[in-house]
Amino acid sequence: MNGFNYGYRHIPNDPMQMMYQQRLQAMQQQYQQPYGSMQMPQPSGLKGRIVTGMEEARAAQIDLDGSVFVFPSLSENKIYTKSIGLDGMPVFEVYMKQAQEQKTPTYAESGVVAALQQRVEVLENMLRGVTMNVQSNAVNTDDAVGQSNGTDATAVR
Amino acid sequence: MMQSGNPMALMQQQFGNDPMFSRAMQMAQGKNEDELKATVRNLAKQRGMDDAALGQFLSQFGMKL
Repeated sequence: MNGFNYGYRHIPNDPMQMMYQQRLQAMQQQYQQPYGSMQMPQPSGLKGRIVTGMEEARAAQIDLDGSVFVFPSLSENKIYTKSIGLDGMPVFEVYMKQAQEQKTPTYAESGVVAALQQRVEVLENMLRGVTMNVQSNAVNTDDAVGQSNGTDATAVR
Repeated sequence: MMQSGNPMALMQQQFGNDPMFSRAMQMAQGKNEDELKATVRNLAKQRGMDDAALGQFLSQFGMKL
């Protein structure tokens, strides 16, 4: 009314006090968020709950923001997921636990194994004879060609 | 809002960080009027509202489908 402003706004004379007040105002402006840019608090982790069956998961109300809700069904070994698609219709999916294949070793009978061992030994002996025969031939070629070719082979066998 | 030119741009500026608004924009993108109406009906069904209940709800805001 008379041009004087008593009260509400204190105008400090001290330069230090002015500096503090300016700093306080700057901090207030920094922490003031404009309307509309305030974000909804985002819950961390998965959304959903444990259900007893598919019908319960289908009937569950979920957020319309498109986030995926997870509904594990422990008794059925299944996981249901539900979200809202871009057409406004619910998107419902089922995931099922897959049984892991257990590999059991098959054992052979001891008689079969012994017979196989015997056959392997016979084959090894035969092979050993062949290799010795080849070696003796190689030696013989140095001395005299065709001198003891046939004799070495018969000696081994 | 009307005096500021494009109301969509203003809403985008105001609510762009809101996930619900972003989702609504995604849902509305590239749809004609009939498709938008169908989307709204589908969303209403998710909240247990049939066409009559939806019409009643919208009439509170002076809107109809």
